[in-house]
Amino acid sequence: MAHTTGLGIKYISYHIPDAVLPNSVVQERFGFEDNFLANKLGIDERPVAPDDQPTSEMCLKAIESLTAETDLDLAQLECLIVITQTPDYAIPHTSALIHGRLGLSKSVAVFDVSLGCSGYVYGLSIAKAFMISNGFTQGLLVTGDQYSKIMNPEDRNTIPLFGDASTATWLSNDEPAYLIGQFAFGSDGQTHEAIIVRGSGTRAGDAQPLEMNGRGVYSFMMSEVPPNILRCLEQNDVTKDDIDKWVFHQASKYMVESLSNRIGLDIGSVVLDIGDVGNTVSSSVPLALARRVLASQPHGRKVLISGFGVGTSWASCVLTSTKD
Amino acid sequence: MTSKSNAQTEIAEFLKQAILEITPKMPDVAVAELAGKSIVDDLKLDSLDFINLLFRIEEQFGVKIPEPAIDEHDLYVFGNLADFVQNASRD
Repeated sequence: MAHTTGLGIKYISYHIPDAVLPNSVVQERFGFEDNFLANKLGIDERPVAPDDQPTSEMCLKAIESLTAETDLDLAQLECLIVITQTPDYAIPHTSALIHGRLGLSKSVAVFDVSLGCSGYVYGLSIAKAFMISNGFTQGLLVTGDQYSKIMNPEDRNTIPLFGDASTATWLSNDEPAYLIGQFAFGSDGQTHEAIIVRGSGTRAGDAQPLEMNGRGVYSFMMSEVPPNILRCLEQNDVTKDDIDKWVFHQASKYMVESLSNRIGLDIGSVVLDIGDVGNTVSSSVPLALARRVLASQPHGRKVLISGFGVGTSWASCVLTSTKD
Repeated sequence: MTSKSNAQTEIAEFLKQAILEITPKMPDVAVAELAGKSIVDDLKLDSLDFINLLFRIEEQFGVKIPEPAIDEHDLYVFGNLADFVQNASRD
């Protein structure tokens, strides 16, 4: 069996669709106060995936970037896990479509995980445990959501916030950039209506668009996420001072700053990566990691990541650089 | 009567302080003159700030403010919000 105790994140690539919904259009449609979108939400434009590009295609583009930017050999992959709540089809799972398009070996394990903004952190834990328990050394964790296709175009609660994007994280025990530490999880099913699509499930009638209770989401984030982060620090035997960079789910600039202030963080160590992408749901944490942590030097010895949203659910983890 | 007045003053002071912490744009207005002010138009809180204010009220006074109550009681007016919090915290 291969030695997998050093399993970690080797590299993260991403895809951001070219077409965007700019503030000028959102402003004209909804009439927000001046600078509310750019200064309060922190968003200038939101990428929108083309109508003929479903989630699997968007995810494939992130994987194409990964193979172009690294020496990843897809023939060595042992598992492929996709985090999405906007799959191509209700059945089968999107990872199966990606497996087919890539022509991966039939020995590769592929499955989806249905989680939203907390999904990447949960996915890292699932992938790590799955790979270690099966002696795997090479895996892909892919995220992709297209809220543009499930939102009501006239909904001022959601349209200004969400953007489409995908990411592909190469997990390997061969010189990973970051080792994956201990996780802290949480869920509150009593608040499951905070972000909901009532159509398309087995309980549903006709398809209905995404609904979001912004106030409910804010309250849950401010109440539940700070203690979860503090618990995560304890579980990893570190303090706030040991963390070089904080990567939270990029719900909005206002929410990232509110959360940071509540925990008492130096805002300079908190990553903000939302201006040109908006809230990209399951992709926001890996996108910020790729663009603001892995791509920068020094990229931080210890990084705390935290995702929170749909469910409601939340999860945090500490990543440790192997470079020091 | 005295305790009611004290409670009213305490809530109004808390609201003013909370709004000041949320937005530096709030004009300097004495608590006694705030009752008729619009929290959005006069005190310069936007929709996200208002959500933040309601969250702080929930935490401080244990008062849940249902969404329909905001329009029903016109809680964007400072005095109405203070009265609502006082009545709800007595229940």
